[in-house]
Amino acid sequence: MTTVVTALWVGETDLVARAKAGDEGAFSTLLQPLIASSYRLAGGMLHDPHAAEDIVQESSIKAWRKIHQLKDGAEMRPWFFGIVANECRSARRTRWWSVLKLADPQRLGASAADSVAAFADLRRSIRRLKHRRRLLLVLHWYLDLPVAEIAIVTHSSEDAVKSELARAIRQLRTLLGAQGT
Amino acid sequence: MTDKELRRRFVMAVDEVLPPAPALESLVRDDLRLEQRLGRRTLSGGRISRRGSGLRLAAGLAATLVGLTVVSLLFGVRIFQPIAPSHQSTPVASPSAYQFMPTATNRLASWPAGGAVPAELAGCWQSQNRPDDPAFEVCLGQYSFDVGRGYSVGNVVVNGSEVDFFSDVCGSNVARPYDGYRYTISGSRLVLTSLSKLIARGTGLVDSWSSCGWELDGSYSRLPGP
Repeated sequence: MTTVVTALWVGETDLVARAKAGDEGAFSTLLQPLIASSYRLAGGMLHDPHAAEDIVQESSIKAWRKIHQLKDGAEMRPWFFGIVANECRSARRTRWWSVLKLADPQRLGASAADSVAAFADLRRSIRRLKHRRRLLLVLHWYLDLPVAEIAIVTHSSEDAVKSELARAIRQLRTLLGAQGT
Repeated sequence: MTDKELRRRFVMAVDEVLPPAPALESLVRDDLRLEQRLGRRTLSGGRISRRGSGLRLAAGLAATLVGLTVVSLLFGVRIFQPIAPSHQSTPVASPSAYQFMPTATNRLASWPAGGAVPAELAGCWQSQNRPDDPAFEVCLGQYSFDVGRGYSVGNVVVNGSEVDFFSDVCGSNVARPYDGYRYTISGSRLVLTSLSKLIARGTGLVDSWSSCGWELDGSYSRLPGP
């Protein structure tokens, strides 16, 4: 299904083994370089910085509890991104007013309000995409992940990712058109 | 617009609402340390187990009991006295204490068709998924709604069994700029079912009606008035 995505950085395999054995320090070392990008992933999915921080914190704890499920030789990043994506899906189900929060420019301060309004329609369109399509766009466009790695995160083939990405872009265009932008 | 331009805008649109979070790394580190200190996890053969947690709990309880007994002997306090209902217990936040005041008493011509909230629907309702959380309280009256005790407010119209929520966040360039729900009331229980999701099912859109994004589906129980 997936070819080599990125080379495991030196020592990752060893750190994973140590983390699986209960070494919290090793786990933190593995996780630390992923925090910023995970925050961007959650932020791209939810458009809410506070929720994104919560998601990353919750995902980190979940990853620590489930680290034994990480397959030998598998990379930490796509595995952890998968957890973050699942948390985002759950958050959208339970926090039913989150979209409204984002739509309120007052929360972001007066100086940012105009700028925020400039892309409000685009964000609204993004939020109307189904979770999976939004996830693909965020991973590919916002995090700049290669298709092969996205395939690992989403547990699908590269071909499936490519075609779904094309559909997501088409749909986003349609939604933007419907909003008159 | 080219794909490249759309992508550029996509990135900017997200960047706008996502400030840097410099403290996040340390927060995560603290969380993990706390998690480990709490001893939630010991590994045994690759599986999570709670080795010895029962013994530790029993030892802790025994130590507490011994400590309390010593204190009671020293200060003459009776530990095992019958528990009587206290009239000075910590007050529990009552959702009904919220004074919801409908702000719209008349409909505007530009609103979706429909009338004011009927008496059976008027009042405050608590989500049964989160019965103790005021943030999950929905109040309705006349042409107004209020979610989360003033957290978000807007207008509402009712058409038979359909109730439509809307405000200026919904956008105006869509066919139906509101969130529609079918409502049923049985005694003190209200059920809201999203019409947009029912219709949108299978179309590839989360919500083909509006862009409000409220997800009020679910069961609610009526809150007593203030």
